[in-house]
Amino acid sequence: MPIVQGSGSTRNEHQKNKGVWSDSGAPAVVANSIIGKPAPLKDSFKKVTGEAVYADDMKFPGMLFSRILRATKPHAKIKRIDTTKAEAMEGVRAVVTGRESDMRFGVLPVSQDELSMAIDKVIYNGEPVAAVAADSEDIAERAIWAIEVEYEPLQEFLKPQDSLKEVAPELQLHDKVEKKHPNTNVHKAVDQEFGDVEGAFKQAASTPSASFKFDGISHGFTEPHAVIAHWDAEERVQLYTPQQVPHYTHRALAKVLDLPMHQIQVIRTTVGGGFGGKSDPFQHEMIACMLARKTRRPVKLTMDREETFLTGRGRHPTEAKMAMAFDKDGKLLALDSDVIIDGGAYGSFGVVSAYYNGVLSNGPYWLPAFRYHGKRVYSNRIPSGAMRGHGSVNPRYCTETLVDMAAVELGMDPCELRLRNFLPPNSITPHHKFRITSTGIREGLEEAMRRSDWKKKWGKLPFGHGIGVGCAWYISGSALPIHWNKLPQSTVHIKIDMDGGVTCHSLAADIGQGSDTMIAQIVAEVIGCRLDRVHVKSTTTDTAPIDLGSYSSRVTFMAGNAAREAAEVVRKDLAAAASKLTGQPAQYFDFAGEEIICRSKPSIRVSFMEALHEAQADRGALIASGSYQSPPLGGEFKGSNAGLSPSYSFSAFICELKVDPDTGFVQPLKIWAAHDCGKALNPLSVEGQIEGSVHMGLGQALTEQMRYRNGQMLNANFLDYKIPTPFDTPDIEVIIVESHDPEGPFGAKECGEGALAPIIPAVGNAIYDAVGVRMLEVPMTPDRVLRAIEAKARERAK
Amino acid sequence: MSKQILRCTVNGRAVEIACEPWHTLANVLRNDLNLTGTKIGCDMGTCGCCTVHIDGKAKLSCLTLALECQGAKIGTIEGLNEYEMHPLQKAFAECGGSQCGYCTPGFIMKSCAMLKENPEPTREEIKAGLSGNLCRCTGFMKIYDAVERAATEMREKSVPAPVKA
Amino acid sequence: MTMLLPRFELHQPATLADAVKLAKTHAGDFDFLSGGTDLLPNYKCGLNAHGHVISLAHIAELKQITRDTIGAGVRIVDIERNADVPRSVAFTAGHIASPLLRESGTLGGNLMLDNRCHFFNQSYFWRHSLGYCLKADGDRCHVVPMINEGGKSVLNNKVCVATHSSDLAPMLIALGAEVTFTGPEGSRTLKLNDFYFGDGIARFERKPGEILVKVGLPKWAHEVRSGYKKLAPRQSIDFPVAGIGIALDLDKGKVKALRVAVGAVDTTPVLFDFSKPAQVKAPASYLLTDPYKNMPDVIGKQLDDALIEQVSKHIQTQCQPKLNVPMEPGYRKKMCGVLTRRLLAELRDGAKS
Ligand SMILES: Cc1cc2nc3c(=O)[nH]c(=O)nc-3n(C[C@H](O)[C@H](O)[C@H](O)COP(=O)(O)OP(=O)(O)OC[C@H]3O[C@@H](n4cnc5c(N)ncnc54)[C@H](O)[C@@H]3O)c2cc1C
Ligand code: SF4
Repeated sequence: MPIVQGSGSTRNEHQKNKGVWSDSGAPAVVANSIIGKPAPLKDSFKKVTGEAVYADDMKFPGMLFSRILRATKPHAKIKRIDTTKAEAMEGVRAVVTGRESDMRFGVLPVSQDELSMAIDKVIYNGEPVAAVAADSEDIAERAIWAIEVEYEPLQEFLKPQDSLKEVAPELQLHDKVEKKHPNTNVHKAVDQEFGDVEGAFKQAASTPSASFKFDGISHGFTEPHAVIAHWDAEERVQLYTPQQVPHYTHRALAKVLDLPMHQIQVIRTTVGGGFGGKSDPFQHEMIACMLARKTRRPVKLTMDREETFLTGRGRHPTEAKMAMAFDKDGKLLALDSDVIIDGGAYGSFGVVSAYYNGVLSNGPYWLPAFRYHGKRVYSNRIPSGAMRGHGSVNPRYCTETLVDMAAVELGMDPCELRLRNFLPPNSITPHHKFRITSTGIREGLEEAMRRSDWKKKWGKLPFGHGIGVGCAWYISGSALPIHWNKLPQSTVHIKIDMDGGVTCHSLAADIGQGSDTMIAQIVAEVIGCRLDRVHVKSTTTDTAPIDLGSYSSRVTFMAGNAAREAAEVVRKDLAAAASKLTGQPAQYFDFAGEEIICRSKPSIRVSFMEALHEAQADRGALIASGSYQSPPLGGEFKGSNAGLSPSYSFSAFICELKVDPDTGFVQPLKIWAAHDCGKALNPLSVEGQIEGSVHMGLGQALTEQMRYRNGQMLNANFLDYKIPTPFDTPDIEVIIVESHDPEGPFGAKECGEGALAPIIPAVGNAIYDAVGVRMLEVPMTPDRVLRAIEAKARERAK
Repeated sequence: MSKQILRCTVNGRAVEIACEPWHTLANVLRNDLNLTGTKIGCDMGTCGCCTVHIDGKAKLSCLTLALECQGAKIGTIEGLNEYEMHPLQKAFAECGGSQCGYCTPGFIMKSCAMLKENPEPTREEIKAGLSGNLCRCTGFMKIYDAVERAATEMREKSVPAPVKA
Repeated sequence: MTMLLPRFELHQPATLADAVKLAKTHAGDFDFLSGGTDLLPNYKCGLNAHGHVISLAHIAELKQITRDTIGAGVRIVDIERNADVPRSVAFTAGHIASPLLRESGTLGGNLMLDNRCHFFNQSYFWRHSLGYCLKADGDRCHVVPMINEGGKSVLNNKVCVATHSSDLAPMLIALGAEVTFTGPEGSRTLKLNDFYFGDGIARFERKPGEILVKVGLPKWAHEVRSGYKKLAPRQSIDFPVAGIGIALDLDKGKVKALRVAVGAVDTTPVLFDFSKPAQVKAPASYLLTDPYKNMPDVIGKQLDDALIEQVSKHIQTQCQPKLNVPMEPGYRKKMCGVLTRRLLAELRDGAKS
């Protein structure tokens, strides 16, 4: 396992009061028997045998099947809905429409703008309008088409520019829009300026600028949406759903169903991929519950692939104008960016997206002056939201392209230019006060350069063959929770009884990224037991303490820290028991290999079980709780919360590829992906996350795009939405960089999202190296690449 | 239009079941036989999640009518690990070839049929063999690792053809 | 949910004769099913489904493969792996769809698969939102909304330009393949090229109930240089958005015969037979690519780079792809030229096989 050690940070000042985890001041990883060792994901054995249960795999006695009738217009008034024919059909048990509830919900408290089903108007093609529960899917499907809906079309907003215009109130998609832009369809505008931007551009030696365009991207998880709701005989709602964030769904259900939260249990089923696409509370979750309320029967609602695309929340279609200023030595002076993102029909995570598209450009380079005008608009298209690398991916492509352009203009090696500008560890960014605890980006880039033979290749490969670089950073969890309260962001409970099984409860959702395994590893490491003793229960809100779920790359950092804290409590109990049994002082025990060992006299030791049973005397099961709350961070200005994180990951990728100059086809040959994840708790899983990010990023770089014709998505299927096949995916060499974050659990930071962004500019910059064209539209499809090559040739000919 | 009896074996077990002519094999396996290890990802032949063995060939159960399998030997992911885990299953778990797991049964079934035809595939051959299966999580690298490892183990232990089918 | 198939009755004849009989009985309300990889996705979208499905999968007579004939029921994978058929044919087969689909898909289904269009290959919901189109349930075409009739631009309520997207068809046409059919009115054999009909809905010169039995390859097909190049967004799974099949007979570097068939740019594969046969099929509609207009003379000439350029230019100029499958028509048109040029050079320079 090739692991590069980064310039780790020391335990800095603000770290002191957090306390070092080990009670004896021992090194962070004591036994080092589990942390840092590749471990298969605990649940993968069930997945390879087909035992793992996904929502659509479940059956309940008396279960009904549901289908949703969706809007066939992008923007229209609903004149009439008549459900009588559907209701009269044999086998139909319930029909619901928007009349069921006018309660609006949404993932962000500031954007409560979704209805379970449209009421007076529909705002995108595919929006739920009504739903049926019936004895079979077949009947439900026929019944939805028996529902009559009469629409009166309204002017459609399909281009972001149209959404900026002032319109009559009835043409506003939502009542609440950005205050600065009343009477429009602007959802959120962010305007920030720090430092002397104008001055910087005046004194700069290089001021590359360009306009970029990005198509919308869909998560493309393989498991289509599916839920089962049951309103049980105790009047409790049981919702089985593959949620990344059961807690937000839990809150939204309580609001929409008008029930206290404790009357609802959200049960996370195995999640067949999420990537941000299963992290909003969803209309179909509400609808299934409403049908269950009406019928008092379990109701299953499984979508097909097209509906899954229509449910959306993917990466925003984006238009960006950006300029950067560098001095003659390649020092970055300023960034000026103007970005419009198309939010589609709902708010979703969009307020955050609007900020992230700007503020996350404050790294991984030291940026003295910054100006950002960002707008997120509503439109009559599929709602956009959070997708892997949320808010950072498209602007990252822009900045990395401009950095490359500056390097060319200044006659510098683009890697060299980047190395001159990286944020150092133990620093605070000048304006947003992002706190950089650890970073290994320098080591990562240098290692990627070395392995790729960068110096021998860049600028020296024959025409059509190129190499390019892209760097990025990403948050390790948002420091501020979406809902303002004093609760910890993660809590983990541990229970150990005389059977010796260690049960951890957490609501951090294992979505395939391996968070259950991560929690088990941390707990096993701290109490020195075998990994297979530890069982993680992370599926139900009844038993798990609240955790804000799997988004914003927060789980390893936050739930990991909570698990570590809980395990330390248990460790203290066990140490006290060992002390009682041996007469040695409790603080001098080490924990490893299922034994509790006296540090000064290693021959004195008690087994895990002995100590456990001693600790249980007179009290029964050992119970412990640990939690995590981000430290107070950031500056003091409006919007200063956005982008704050207790730690950041960093990555540096290099891509070598060939461009066929006659066809515009791009064939990636090899990717070197260096990612600083702080500490690879499980290197196997870290590699898997990085490889997966590269593959997904390559899709956005080269083939994937949500195509529309008017308001209809043209390619809502896996044949036409082009996820790269094995043939389209080159060899990926992962370089794990460890910078040992002082606050991460055992030094760990995120690795699941940050590794997506750099591949896209690495491809773009390699295309430039290969054929001399700057790709300003993403994906870089063959026709676009060819057009750029031809335009360049025409220019040359002039 | 009425149900007809499908007689076949599934994972070595004789099955006799009344099927609608318009039900696919995937429908029948999942809904009637409760073999939910076979997944439906796109339902249109593109993603490979629903791959099963029909008379030893890896095929898409979403594009196969159940009644077209009259007399066939059908193998599903559940049939691979009778008595013990199949080397492919073990290798997929141990090499990190499965993350969210939804595409995994399809990949394993396809790999299994591939190894029967070609017990010692090169990495390029593995790539080619799996080029009809889509995985959104792993970036494929660890899947290739898993197939390589399983192939080696199967050659060394000369694991018999899986599934009694 | 799974995409539900419409209800139908399934028939599983064991002989050709029985299949023909069933076709006669259910005339007008049936579809043949072979591997199902084209029919079933279309049925799931509710596209022109019928009350009866007659499976050809159990008819042994359709499954023979030899050097010279390939049964319509032969699976694509068995063509791909066959050492006796021309290498170009096996190569083409190996680039169809994906390994999983090639296990089920058959030659017959491949030659007769339904034409494709992104207004047609959509769910019922999607097409309902759009208001349907000529090829299924509707009365207009969204690709060519207006046509010219008697000098006047009128609403197009007749011509469908859905794209024929088979890989094998152009290759086999280039090689001069023949097809044999059996139907209620007896058997017939004709040139594969003559079988296709330039209309996205009718698609074939087909008599009711006819079953494709086999494809015959002339001796010539084994003697000439031949090859296929496919344009598709991804390197697996995807349908072609342009496909070039070429059969080239060279005599001491001079062209004796040259047949270029282009797939996936029109409602049928388009044959450019550079020997310019006296009797060529007239384009069935004015939207069809016209291969013979201004066709350069190549027979007897040295196949040098200039001639290759001339041939590829001609093909590029004549092909008229429509905006109804992935990738822009202008780009696909250009690629027809590029791929032809490359393939011709490869065939000229490579060893004869
Ligand atoms: C995701 C995906 C990707 C694909 N990619 C490609 C591709 O790259 N290239 C390509 O060429 N195809 C592609 N296909 C289409 C299809 O898989 C192949 O063309 C396959 O060969 C079709 O054969 P089949 O036996 O499955 O056809 P079927 O679906 O069984 O039949 C197709 C049509 O042909 C008729 N038919 C079949 N056999 C006969 C016969 N003997 N006599 C009369 N009529 C008959 C049927 O009635 C039906 O109308 C793809 C399909 C999918 C789902
Ligand atoms: S080309 Fe044919 S299938 Fe496409 S919209 Fe026109 S009529 Fe319909």
